Order: sequence, then C-alpha cells, then structure tokens
Amino acid sequence: MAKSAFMRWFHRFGSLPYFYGVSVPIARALAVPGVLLAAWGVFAGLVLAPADYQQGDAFRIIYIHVPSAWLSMFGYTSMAVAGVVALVWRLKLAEIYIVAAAPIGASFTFLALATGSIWGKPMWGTWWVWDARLTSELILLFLYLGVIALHNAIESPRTAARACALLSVVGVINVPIIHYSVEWWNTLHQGPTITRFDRPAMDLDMLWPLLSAALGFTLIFGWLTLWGMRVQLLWRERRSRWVGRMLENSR
Amino acid sequence: MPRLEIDNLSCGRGEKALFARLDLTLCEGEVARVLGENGSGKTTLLRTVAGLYRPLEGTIRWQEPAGADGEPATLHERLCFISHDNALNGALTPVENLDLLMRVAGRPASEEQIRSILADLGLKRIAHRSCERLSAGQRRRVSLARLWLTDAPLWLLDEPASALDVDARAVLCERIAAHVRGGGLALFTTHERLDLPTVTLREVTLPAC
Amino acid sequence: MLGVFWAVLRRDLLLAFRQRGVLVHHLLFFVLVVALFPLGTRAEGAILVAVSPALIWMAVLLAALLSLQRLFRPDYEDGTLEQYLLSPEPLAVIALAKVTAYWIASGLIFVVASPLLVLLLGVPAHAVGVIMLSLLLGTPTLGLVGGIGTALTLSLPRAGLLLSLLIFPLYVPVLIFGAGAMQAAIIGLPAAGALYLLGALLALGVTAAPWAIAAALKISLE
Repeated sequence: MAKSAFMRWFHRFGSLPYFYGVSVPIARALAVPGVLLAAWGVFAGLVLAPADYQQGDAFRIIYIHVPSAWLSMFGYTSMAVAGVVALVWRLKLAEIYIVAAAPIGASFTFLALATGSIWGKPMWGTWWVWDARLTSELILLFLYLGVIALHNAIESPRTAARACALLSVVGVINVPIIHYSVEWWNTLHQGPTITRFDRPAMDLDMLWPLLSAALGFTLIFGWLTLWGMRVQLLWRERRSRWVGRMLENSR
Repeated sequence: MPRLEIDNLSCGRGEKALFARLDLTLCEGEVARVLGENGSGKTTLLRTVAGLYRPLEGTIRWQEPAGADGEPATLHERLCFISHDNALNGALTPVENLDLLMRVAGRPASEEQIRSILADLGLKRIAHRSCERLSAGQRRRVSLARLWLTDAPLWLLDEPASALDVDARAVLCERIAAHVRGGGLALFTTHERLDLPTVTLREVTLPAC
Repeated sequence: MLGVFWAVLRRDLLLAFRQRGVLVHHLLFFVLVVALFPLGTRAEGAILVAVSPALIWMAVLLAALLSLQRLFRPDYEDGTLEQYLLSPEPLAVIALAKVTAYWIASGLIFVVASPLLVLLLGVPAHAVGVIMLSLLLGTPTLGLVGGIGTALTLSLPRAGLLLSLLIFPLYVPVLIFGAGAMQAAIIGLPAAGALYLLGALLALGVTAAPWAIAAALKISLE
C-alpha cells in the first residue's frame, strides 16, 4: 500500500504541468534560506572567525572552496541518480534535471578549481600542483563538460537528454576509480614534495560558518537548477497544450 | 492463432505526432499495405511495430498460443524486418552478408541454402562478388533474399520493391503471396502498385492527427 | 548466444582483414607519433626513457580515438545495426563481439608492435615483458569504454572532437595504471600491483560496458 502511494506521488510529481506549478513555491522556499545561510556563512567566515594559526587569513578561502567542491561532487552524483531514474522509468523530469544541473555543477567545479588554485599560491608557492584532489576535480570538470557538449551536439532534445543520462551514470561509476587512481599515482610521484598540514580539529567558530555556507550554497544550487529546469521544460513542451493554455492565461 | 494487435497507436519523431489513434489487427494469413503521402509516418509505423521506436501512445502486441516450452514468443523472435537500408556491407559478398543477417535474426542458414536461394533468384553469378560492386537493384534483390531464407511469421517490409525491375517485382509479389497463403502476416509500404496473386490485400490509411 | 557472438566476431575480423589498409594506417599512426617525439626533444637517452611510458600510452590513446570512430559507423550507415537491435539475441553480446573484433584488429596489433618502439626509445630490454602485458590488459578496456562514447555519438556524423571530450576523462585510470606499470618495470620495481589493477579495470569493463554500449546504441537509434 505504502509503495503504491509512493508511486502515485512519484507519477504525479513527474507530471510536467504539476511540477511547473509547484516549482515556483519550492524555488522560493530554497532561495530565501539559501541566500541567508550562505551570506551569514561567508560573512562569519571572512570576518568573524579567528585567523588560522598556521595559514593566517589565507585559510578563509575555504568558505567558498569547500562548498564549491562539495557541490561539484553532489551535483554530479545527483545527475547520475537522475540518470538512472530517466533510463529506467523514463521520467522526463529526471532528464530535464540532468540537463539543467550540468552547467551549474560545472560552474561550481570551476569555482572549486579556481579557489583551490588561488589558495595554493600562498600555501605551495605555485598556482597549480598535481595534487590528487585538484587533479580529480579537474577531471570531474571534464566529465561535466562532456555531458554539456553531448547535450549541445545532439539535435533531438529527447535523445540528447537520454544520452546525457547514460553518460552521467557511466561517469559516476568512474569518479571513484579516477579518484583512487589519481591518488595512487600521486603517492608514486609526488610523495614528500608537498607538505601536508597536520590540521587540528577545526575550531567551532570556524566550523559553524563553513557548515552554514555549505548548506546555503546547496540550497542555492537547488534553486538555480529548478529555474533551469523550468526553462528547459517550457522549451521542450512549447508545442504542448498545457503550455499554450498557460501562455493564453498569462496574457 | 498468431496475430498482431495494434491498439490506439500514436507515433511520431521527437515530441511531434505524425499520426494518432491507429487501430489495426492483423490475423493469420492477412497482408496489409500502408497508404499515405511522403512524411505521413509510414516508415515510422513499421519501425515502431518492429520496436525500433517507442510509440507516443498506445500498444503493440504479438499474440500467439504458448509453444511447447510454455513460453509465449516475443515479437522479436517472430519478426523479419526489411527496411529502406539493405543491411549489406560493401566489402562482404552476398553470401557472407546473408549468413550474418540470418544468424543475427536467430534463424541461421547454411551456406548451401543461401547459395541455392541466390541461384533460384538468378543471382548466382554475383553470389561471391563484393556487394559494393553490385547495382542498386542487385543489392536490393540480395537483401530481399532474406524473405526466402526466413520462416518468421510476421514480415514488415518498407518499400520492398524500390529499385526492382518488373520481373523482380513479380517474383517478390509471388513470394509475399505464398507467405500469406501459408498463414503468414505481412505489413508493407510501397509507392509502386504490387499485385499479389490470389490473396486479398487490405489497405490501411494512417489517421491524421 | 555464443553462436551470434562468434558470427559477429568472425564477420568483423573478416572485414578487418579485407580492409587491412586501414589497420596499417592505424599502426603507422601509432609508430609515427612515437617516432616523431624524440625529434622534438634533444633525444637524450635518460629523458626519453623517463617519458616513454607516457608517450606510448598517449600514442595508444590517440590511435584508439581515431579507430573507434569506425567501430559502429559502417553498420549504422548500411542498416546492419538496426538488424542487430531487432535480434532476439541480447544486444550486449553483439556489442561485446564487435569490441572484441575491434580490439584484435587494433589493440592487439599495438601490443605486438610495442617492443620495437620501446627499444627505439632506449627502454631496457628487461622491461619489455611488463610493457607488453600492461598494453595487453589496458587496451581492451580502452575499446570497451570507448565503445560507449562512440555509441552515444553515433547520430553525429563528425563526432571526433566530441568523442575525445567524452572518453579521455574516462581513460585516466587506464593511463595511470598502464604508464605506472611501465614506469615501475623500467626502474626495476615490481609492477604487479599496477597490472592487477589494470586487470580489475578490464574485468569491470567486460561485465559492465557491453550493457552500457547496448543502451547507448538504443538511445542513438531511437
């Protein structure tokens, strides 16, 4: 019984006009706390938190860097989950999610790389180090760009979205393999040249703003993706009756 | 009694429907020709029935009493689909190409069988020539030779007579008629008139949407 | 099931043999990339030996990219591919047969040609065995993963650049372990760890990739 109720909800939520209708209040519910949490987290991190005893003020970039890196991975994983849903249950909404989330995830990945590189300059004395985590992040960016490029290249929106769904699933199986292989390679080559900071457990005054920023950015990610989905949805369904009726009414 | 049931079928490419709400039941020993202008969805219908495209709406069912093993057969096991494309690789000979196609279709034929069918069809001289050196009509006839090798009950033929001369067309018509008389089913599209001897030809018009 | 596997494998090998000029081109490409590299440096022995693992593997990756584009394209264009899709046999088995034939006609040839090339780069002879083994374990995975990319880009007539963007990031583990095994062998360290990992990747590829290729082909033809 519970299952059938869930499936009913699943299909109802999957219905495109219904989703389009509820997406506005959901987006609002994500945007307001998201912006507030992210703003407080970044402000508290940049101004209120104490400086790091080793890195001084340079460490403060983590309030952007860590949420971006988290979202780069969260974004790709969620795309793969949506990919499975799209391939197995042929839910259009899941296809649209992948297409909408890819550029936003790619942006956060780029942000994580850029902030990591800026952070690396004072810490390692160079903009780029073939550190295991930075390298995996770079390859993750290429995986994102692959999905985006594939979507742009294929003309039929349905085929393009389904191809992207499969590519994200294949990609996500590879992400941990890539990560461990890069780590393996890294210990083989670099080893002692990088001084790893032996960080003590984070001070709570530093940690709370970070958590707040991470949660806030995640909500913002959801908000932006939802708007992207609305645009995709309107474009793909532009010939359908419900979009026509809605445009009539709004006139 | 095997039969093909098409129920409330709407087909299209992408999101756009080409035709809507087609109902058609094809029983043992029936043959139907799909009518419609260019772009009305004839090819799309055949490819959807074959399972290459998904219908926008509606169902396609293959009904057949369960066999000796108690498993009802799927449409794919009962199908012979000949599309616009001949499915012949230019670097291989007709014999090699047909050998692969029949194996892939799950109905392997021996080389002697293939050679004797090609000889019956007047293609003996070219049986071992590479397909890229054949004319369009010869290639089509080689591709159609599958109809003499298969024992599949359901035939879907997309423009089978294209590039054929009058004699070859008559041979094809005779083969389709024999198949139908033997209890087979066939659904085909064609521009040319095809006279099937001694069988009644049903005509299906695609309902516009 | 096995019958279809052998039939497709035999047919694709026959085709590769009939069109052996293409194979020679791929082999020449591989040889040329490796042979031109020293001309761009000062060709000092130590440097060449040090970069030879990366060089050999990059040449293999590029050659794979070029040859993969022909994996499904002819069958797609002449209509054979749709007959594969309509087969009562599982499409994944046919996909595996096609990748196997592709690998025998390209990857295996690189494996056979590699000893000559690495000796040209001044790699010590004791490392040659491991190098061949690493190519033997790594190149089939390239074909399997690359097959997914080619199948996804099938409806695009010129997908070469896009294909590289799709599959090169996925090739990173093979590149790392393949070159890692070579590196270890050259400096006389045990290479077994990297070879085991290459084998594990191959096992994963053989079991998972054919299904992904089959799904990708269905998406592309729909």
